[in-house]
Amino acid sequence: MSDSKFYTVLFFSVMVTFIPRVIPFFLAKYIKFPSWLTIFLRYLPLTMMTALFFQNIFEVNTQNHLLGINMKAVIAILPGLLIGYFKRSLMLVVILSVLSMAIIRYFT
Amino acid sequence: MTISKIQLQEFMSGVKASLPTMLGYISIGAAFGTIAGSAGFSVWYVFLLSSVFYAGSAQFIVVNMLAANASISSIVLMVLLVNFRMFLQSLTVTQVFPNQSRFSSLLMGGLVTDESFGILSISKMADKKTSVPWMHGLNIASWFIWWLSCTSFAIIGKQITNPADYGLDFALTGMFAGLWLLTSVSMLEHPNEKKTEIVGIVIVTTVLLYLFMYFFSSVVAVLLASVLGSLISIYIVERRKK
Repeated sequence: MSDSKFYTVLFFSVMVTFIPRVIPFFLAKYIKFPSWLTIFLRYLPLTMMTALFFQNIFEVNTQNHLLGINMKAVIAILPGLLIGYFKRSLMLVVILSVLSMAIIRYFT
Repeated sequence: MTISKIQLQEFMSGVKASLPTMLGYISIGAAFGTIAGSAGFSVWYVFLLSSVFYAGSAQFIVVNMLAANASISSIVLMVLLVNFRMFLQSLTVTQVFPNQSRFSSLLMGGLVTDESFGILSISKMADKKTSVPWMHGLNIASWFIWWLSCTSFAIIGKQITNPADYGLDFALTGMFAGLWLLTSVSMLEHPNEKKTEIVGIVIVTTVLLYLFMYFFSSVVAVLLASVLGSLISIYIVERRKK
């Protein structure tokens, strides 16, 4: 890999990442959002977090190429979800998930 | 530009709100630094990728594709696709914080991540105080930890034992699990929302994701499932009104 290739890729990658991210901030001042878009944006955090989370739970089986569920991940997540639900703490979910996964890996 | 004491306090409380992301960022940053370092990327390159590009999973893709000698256009196209959900997230953030100065807009737009976006959503729904300085504190602290972790581990390189041994690679999954849980719970308990609708939206999105993951890469599947899930939400909510 040459230096010039790296810098070219870096430059264009930054552009295609940065521009779509900041455009909405400048559009928002001039455009009145229609009501359907407001509703769309209200539910987007829910659907996006759902998709981002379950993407980590689904996994492709290498033998039959079917999409399955990563049971190890599900088991490791459960204590965090349960206690996180009662304590309403993001930090607890993260720490308990890491701990459970470490314990599961130690015994398997 | 002067910064008032209150703004500084709000900024610092944003820094504090970023705490749950730290563990995930440090461990994934460690993985990125180690992988890129062992793939022959210099510490300087790793620093540039993690600080200027600052794109989480897209950084792994760029390193992988560059190492595989992929064409420049294919790499850039892939990055555009992977990061396009940020456009929608920014659009949501502008609804929360309209009327910012140009500098503030660039700073916020450039540094919003899946995680800071998630923390913003749950803080807002929990009626915690959020503000523009708070969001900057959250974003900047996350950004700082990310590139610091990536770069440090690129220096340490291969000497580090596998972070997966300690379950640390799982921190980001835990993070998304927590963000999903708290977003769902706060929407379920919101007086203006119907519980059955929220559960329905979660199920529909999950099923869509599952189906899309058969046909597309997981990044495209996430984008399509969340967009389609939200579009279906419009239909569900509008139907209730009639």
